[in-house]
Amino acid sequence: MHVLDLKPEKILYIYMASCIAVLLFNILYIFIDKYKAKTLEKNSLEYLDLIKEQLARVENGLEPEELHLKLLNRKLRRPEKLRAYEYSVAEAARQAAPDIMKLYFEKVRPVFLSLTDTYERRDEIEQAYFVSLIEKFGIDKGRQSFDGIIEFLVRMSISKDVYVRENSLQALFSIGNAEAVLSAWQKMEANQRYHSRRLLAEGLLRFTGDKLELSRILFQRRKDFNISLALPVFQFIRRYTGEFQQEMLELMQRSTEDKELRLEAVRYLRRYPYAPAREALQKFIWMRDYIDWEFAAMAAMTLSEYPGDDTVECLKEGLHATNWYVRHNCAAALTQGLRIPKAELYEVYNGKDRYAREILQYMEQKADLEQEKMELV
Amino acid sequence: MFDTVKWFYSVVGVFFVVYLLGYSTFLLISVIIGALKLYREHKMRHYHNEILHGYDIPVTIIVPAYNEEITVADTVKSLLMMDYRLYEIVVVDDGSKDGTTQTLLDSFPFKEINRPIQRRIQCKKEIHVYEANINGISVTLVQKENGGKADALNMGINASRYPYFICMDADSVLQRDSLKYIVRPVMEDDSVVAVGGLVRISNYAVLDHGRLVNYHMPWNPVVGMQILEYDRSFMASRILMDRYNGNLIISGAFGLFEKETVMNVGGYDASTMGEDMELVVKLHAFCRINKLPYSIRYAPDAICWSQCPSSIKDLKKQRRRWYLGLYQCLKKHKKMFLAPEFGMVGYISYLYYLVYELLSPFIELFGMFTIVMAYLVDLINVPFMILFFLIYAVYGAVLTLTAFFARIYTQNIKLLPMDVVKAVYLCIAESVFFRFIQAFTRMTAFIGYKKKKNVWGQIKRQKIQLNRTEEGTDSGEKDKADKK
Repeated sequence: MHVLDLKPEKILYIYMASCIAVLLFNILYIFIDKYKAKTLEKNSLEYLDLIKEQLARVENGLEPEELHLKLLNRKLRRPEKLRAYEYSVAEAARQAAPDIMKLYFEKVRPVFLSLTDTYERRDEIEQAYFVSLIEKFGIDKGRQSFDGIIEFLVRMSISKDVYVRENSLQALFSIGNAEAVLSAWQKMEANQRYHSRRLLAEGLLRFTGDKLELSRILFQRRKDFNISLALPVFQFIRRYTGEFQQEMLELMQRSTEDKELRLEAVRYLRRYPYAPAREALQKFIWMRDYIDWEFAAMAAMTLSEYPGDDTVECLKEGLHATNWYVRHNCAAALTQGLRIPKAELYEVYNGKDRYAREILQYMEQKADLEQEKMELV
Repeated sequence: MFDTVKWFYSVVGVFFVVYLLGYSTFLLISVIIGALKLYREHKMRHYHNEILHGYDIPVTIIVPAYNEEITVADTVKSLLMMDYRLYEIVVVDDGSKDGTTQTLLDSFPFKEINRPIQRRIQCKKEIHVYEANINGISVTLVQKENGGKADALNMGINASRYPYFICMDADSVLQRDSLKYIVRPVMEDDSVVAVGGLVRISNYAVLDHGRLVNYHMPWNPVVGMQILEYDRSFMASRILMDRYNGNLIISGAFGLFEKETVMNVGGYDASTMGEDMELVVKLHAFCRINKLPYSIRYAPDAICWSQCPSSIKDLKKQRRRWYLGLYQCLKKHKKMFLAPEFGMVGYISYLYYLVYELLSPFIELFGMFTIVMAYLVDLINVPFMILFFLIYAVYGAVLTLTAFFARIYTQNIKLLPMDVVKAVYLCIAESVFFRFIQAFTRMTAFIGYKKKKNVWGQIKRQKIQLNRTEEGTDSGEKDKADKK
């Protein structure tokens, strides 16, 4: 058969028809979207009166009506209704006391538990939305037992969709159950589903339970995790507690540990200065033939928190380093961190090393400039 | 002899049918995938699928400038108004012959500083470095020896302090929320090394402090056709290529890059005219050869408003530069062509740019030549040929219109009925005329290639009006100047 027998013009007709279908869909969607926006505006508070009634009952020590729970159970399976419910709750919360709202959500928990089955089968956008509401409404907040919703959230934390993962982790952090967070970490590790390190570290800081307990649990199990899961734990610990100075010093000195974790340990010792670390940090700079310049550069910044003549001498030595970043950080530590006066750096300013001189001059000018924070006219 | 001629025309006929159907299929898939993706994103916004964090990724915005005294101060002012907490601005004056540096020194409280800049990637030497701190945002101005746009960008990378940088043009305006959207893929995925933003034409848009307040389609066919062309490209093919991590272009007008990876590949190549494309292709090559997990993403929510040429003369200048850039880039990375180690990038993206962008003018010229010859020897069915090309032109117009409406609903743009009429007229005009201007420009691009291959190739600029940007209004304030 010849290729021209395929009637190329007919193929183009089919293509054109497909294209027109998409075009019509786009145009139609513009109108549907406008209609939907109007409907949502009109129906957004359709549950407000019902919720207010139930809040009044809860306030009076009564259980919410069975009918209310049944209605929610039936209606909230549709995401549009879930949106209307969200808006109604937001409006009701403006007028009700937070502890009454909390109590109300404890009572409607079975509805959300039952909805987990429905939304687990939905597309990821709707899943992410449903999970975000678990956090928003504080469902299971403070719950210590693993029954239903927490298990659902742990399962969702390995979704292939980043928003489902993120929202379920946020919900777990807001519940404040350290074992549940550990369980999510283990599940991600087992399934090799790695979430953004930045989001994990930031999320851990939002943990509403006992953060110290969480940091201990995760730190103890760090060897079970890949660097993508271990590093956020270290970053969280650095930003939260100074309890791990000894462990961090040991880790920093252990060459078998992952480089990123060791560097994170150096950062930790900057935030929480620890006298026994002083010598080890200086050693990174005194070692002129750097195996890894990043340790020297990071140690230079950290030493700005360890004042003393020995540190100044060490940083001055670092100004002659072959690596630009080491020189830069030593200069920053001397001028901005330790605020060493110019007179004490006389031998560098008048020395033969032009690079050392230039970087010191720049740091000094920069410090002056930062003081003159000017407003744009 | 006649049999040989007939056989030749039969082969040519088959080639052109395959060629045109290949292109049509690619466009159709692009538009459908683009529409589905935009629908999905719209639904995601509806259900608040977004990452809300108090954490911002530190970003350096690099503004390379050459003879930009008219626009550069306004560009910096607009950048100081971004809805983002952690960024710095680095302006690089690439040895301008006009008063680019002086304009900036007059407009902002800069102080000269002896800053040693480590040239980790090659670039010409700095002459003066100035710094200012405005509203808590660090602004650096580097005046350097002239070396071309790529060289200026390399200097900007060397001078930057943050782990991610954004490249942009000195005559563009970033939408106020664009930084938030362009960093989103980096927040979502640690392996993202570059993100491209959506470039939209600012000539007929009304912006108020970096926010779009009014938008309408122009009657000017040169601008209008480019608006539609950008829609088709940014709303369709880039989305398709994004699906398989195969985008080869991140526009020089707005893109975000991870500094360390860019430094590892040596930064921008100053010897090419299409430095933006070359960098992206180089990143693909580097990551794939070294088997590094990586992702190059496209963020259609991150919007940059850029001026487009409004005359045929300027348009031809711009397209010539783009075409030669494409040629240099594809030639430099020819190893990618159908190579298994490059996966879909080599099999689809490279092939598409080679056949439908680089070789297309020559294929079309060959096509026209064979049509004339076939007509002379009476081997062509003229009514069928006319019908086929008409169908093809209408199909092209419908495709463009589809991409146009996809953008309208996803970005909540309000259109007047007259705008729709203009869009239809411009779609047809684009399908019929723009193609030929483009083809002619490409065919003649190599004339004078050796002489002009590394010039900045600027076009007429007009002053950016931060609070009201619309071509055809406030004409008294316009201060046009031919930068060339």
